Amino acid sequence: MALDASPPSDTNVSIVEMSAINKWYGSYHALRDVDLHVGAGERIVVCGPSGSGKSTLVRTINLLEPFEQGHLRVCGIDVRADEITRAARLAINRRVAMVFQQFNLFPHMTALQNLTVGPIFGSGVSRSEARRRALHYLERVGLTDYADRHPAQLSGGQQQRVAIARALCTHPRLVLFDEPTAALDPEMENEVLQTMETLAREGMTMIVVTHEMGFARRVADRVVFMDQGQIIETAPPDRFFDAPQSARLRTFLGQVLAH
Amino acid sequence: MVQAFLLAVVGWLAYGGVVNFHANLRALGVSAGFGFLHTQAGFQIAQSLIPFGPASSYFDALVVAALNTLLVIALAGVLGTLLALVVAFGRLSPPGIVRTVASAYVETFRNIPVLLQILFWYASAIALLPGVADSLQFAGALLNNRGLFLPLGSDRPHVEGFDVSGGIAILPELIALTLGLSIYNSAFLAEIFRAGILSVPRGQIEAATSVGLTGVRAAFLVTLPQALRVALPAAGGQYQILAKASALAAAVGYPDIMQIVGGTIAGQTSHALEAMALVVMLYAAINLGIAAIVAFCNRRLLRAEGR
Amino acid sequence: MVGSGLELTTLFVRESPVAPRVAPATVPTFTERLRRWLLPTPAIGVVSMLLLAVLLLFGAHCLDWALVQAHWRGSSSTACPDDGGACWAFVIARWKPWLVGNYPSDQLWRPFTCFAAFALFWTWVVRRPNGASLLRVLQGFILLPVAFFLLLIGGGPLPVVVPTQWGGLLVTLVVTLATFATALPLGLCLALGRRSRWPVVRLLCGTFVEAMRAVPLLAVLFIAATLLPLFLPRDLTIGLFARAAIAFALFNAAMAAEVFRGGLQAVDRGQIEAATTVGLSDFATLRRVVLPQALTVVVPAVVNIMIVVIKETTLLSVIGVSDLLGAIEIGAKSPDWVGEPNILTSGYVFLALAYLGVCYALSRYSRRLELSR
Repeated sequence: MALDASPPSDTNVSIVEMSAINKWYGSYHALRDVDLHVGAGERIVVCGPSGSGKSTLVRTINLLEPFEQGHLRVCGIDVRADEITRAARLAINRRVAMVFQQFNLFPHMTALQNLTVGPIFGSGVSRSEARRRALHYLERVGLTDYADRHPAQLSGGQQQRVAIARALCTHPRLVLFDEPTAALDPEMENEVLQTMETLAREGMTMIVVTHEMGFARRVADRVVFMDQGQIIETAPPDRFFDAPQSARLRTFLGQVLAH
Repeated sequence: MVQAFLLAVVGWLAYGGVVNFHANLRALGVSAGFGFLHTQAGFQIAQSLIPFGPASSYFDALVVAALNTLLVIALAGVLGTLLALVVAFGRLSPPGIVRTVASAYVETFRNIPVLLQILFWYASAIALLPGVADSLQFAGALLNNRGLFLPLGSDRPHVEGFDVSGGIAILPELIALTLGLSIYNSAFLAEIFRAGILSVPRGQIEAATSVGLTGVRAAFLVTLPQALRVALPAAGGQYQILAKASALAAAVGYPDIMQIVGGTIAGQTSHALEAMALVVMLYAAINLGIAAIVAFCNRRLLRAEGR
Repeated sequence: MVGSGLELTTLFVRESPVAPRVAPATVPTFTERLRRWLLPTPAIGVVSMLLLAVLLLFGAHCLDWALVQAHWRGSSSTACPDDGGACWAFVIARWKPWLVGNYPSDQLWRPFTCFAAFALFWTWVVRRPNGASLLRVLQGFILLPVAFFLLLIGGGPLPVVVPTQWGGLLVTLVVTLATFATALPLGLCLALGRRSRWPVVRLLCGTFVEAMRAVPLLAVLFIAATLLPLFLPRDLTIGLFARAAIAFALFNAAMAAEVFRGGLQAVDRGQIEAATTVGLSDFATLRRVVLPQALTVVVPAVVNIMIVVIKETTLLSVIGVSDLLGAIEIGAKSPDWVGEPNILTSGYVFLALAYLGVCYALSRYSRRLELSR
């Protein structure tokens, strides 16, 4: 069953183009010469040791973090390093959605209100349409009965699924996932991963930062390995996991897949 | 056993106090009790929200004083809160003129004693405002050193001899008291609001950005409701401080509880003890009232978050 | 271009790692920094400009009043005939009442010794190395007021100067120190009492603290001024000054009790449990383990109490004890200076600046203490 309002999958339509992106935190070189192109409908998984810059990478895509050198193009919107404006950030965030590790649901609103506040007050969607969308996506993530609950009354897994529905309500062309299951208990990881897999199978363009290698194998078109702020290796899952080329990736996979 | 001893000590002190009190009263030839409240007061009160005349009783005076206190607390509370919100946002703005001015405002008005501030406004208000004959006129209102006179419907204030009649009178004492109290408290409230706003986790703002909410809209929909919940207990404490500081009305002669009950009644009648007891009880009641309101709002905010 | 770009990154292996580089220098030019300070966003920029205009106009007027048109010399109100300029002559001419009130002129060395001693003490407190004993500071704060009181009152070889003759800064200083010296220990006892095992002690302490917190200080002062004598035996009279000081001490003891309660609660329960398991008695635990930790936590809050007490001393003028504010008001009504309201306003402005300076400096000190822990 296809999603309602995403454009036809066509990997020739470029969603993200990062060229020679460099970012510093003070004197620490956090992103080094990053080049990444993502086409419509692609599912990218980014992995690597902690501190490798994976989160920084995706947070740079929706301009939550600025960058000092390079060129970024997201959904056709150009951003240069010295020209990161509020208008650009707003324009990009109207087309790109994010799911956070800490869920970041608005605690003073119900699940339904969490989903409708962005479309109504950010994108100018009518209340009835926003409500229709919200109920639709709540059903898609299987939480229709929880529409009037507050986040404090939901489990971690349920909260993250509401967060995913909230991301979808803005009808984004790209969804960024920043370690979406890292803050969840093991029993709840599955429900969230399954929701994400359903989305992926329906052709949603996504970039997912995660340690879940099973998810990467099943779902990704490409897997990106990062270490020390740079992209070390990129490959489709088969080659990535069964025939890693670079020594660092081999070491990393050895550590990660050991448990 | 030690407790019994302590109780005995306290009891002995209290007993001694009561004995002395009765002996002193007898020497002065007066009696104790609250019956005097029903006798005629025989004095005027410059501002009263209910009818009060020379024939009214002390109890009526009590009511007038209490209403006047509540009035100044309400006025200063509202004005102070509005000022505090403006200043808090000023302190949160990017480094620049606005932030510097807001910080200077907070530091200045926090560190000058509130009594001094009130007296300063009182002195300037009386000194700078013109006499009745040269009253400033605007929008049907009159402003002079007898006060601010607002029209009430068709009842417009006008000068009659040396006085003003008609309309609603706002005493200069009330103006000075309100200004002094609200500015002083706004400096503290601004810091409380600022702390509340800063306590909202960064992730909330990021989530708001990522669903397309920015700037003022994000502030109203996401930040402020959460900041309010954090700031409410501390703000409630500050409003209690405001209520207690309103007693400084006695320093400028505004007819509130402290001035009328603690000053006039305690001084005029020989029932100073009863009067001061009433003062204590009234302020304690006001404090408890504020605490109850804050607790109620706190519960509602928590329920709004499903907790 | 896009197609080839995708092929490029579909399959990619980095041959040699990228070494970290130095961040590009982003030193904004002076004009850029100025622009960002004046106009961070258009909306704020507009407000800034308005604010700047208002401040410049107002500031010019104030400076004109305070400096240009001010009258600096003179000994009576004839020196300040108009209200176009501040009457600093009033402030300067009456320096003695500001500082010491009506203290006899030939005994001025006594209050001045007190001022100097306190200045030295305070300099030592602020500059002491962090390790140096908190206990010594507390001892100083308790000993100094006692010593000052004895010196100022006199008796024995020194002529007696009753407190009704004291005034101005002397009264402010003595009351502040005396309050500090009495309210802190008393407050600590109250806080400990509220944690006591004995319900009666808890009840008494709790009731006292809550009662004091529910009423204005002015009410307590009024009661001390008018009612307290009625509760004392006929032959025992306590002067107004002493009664006011007692009221201050009791009221602020309740405030201090709340501060100490917070400090005591901040000490982890585990500390008390550990102390019990190494065999310390309740009292020893309190003295050796809990109190030292609690006291270090509350030091900034205690400095804040000092700031509050300094501001509270202005209330003394309302009940007739002549502190700094009282001295100004009495001065403005004295025959030499009565008349222009501008004279009183000048006095108020001078006072405001004085309090602002002292309290601001103390609050900076308090913040420094908070950060240095």
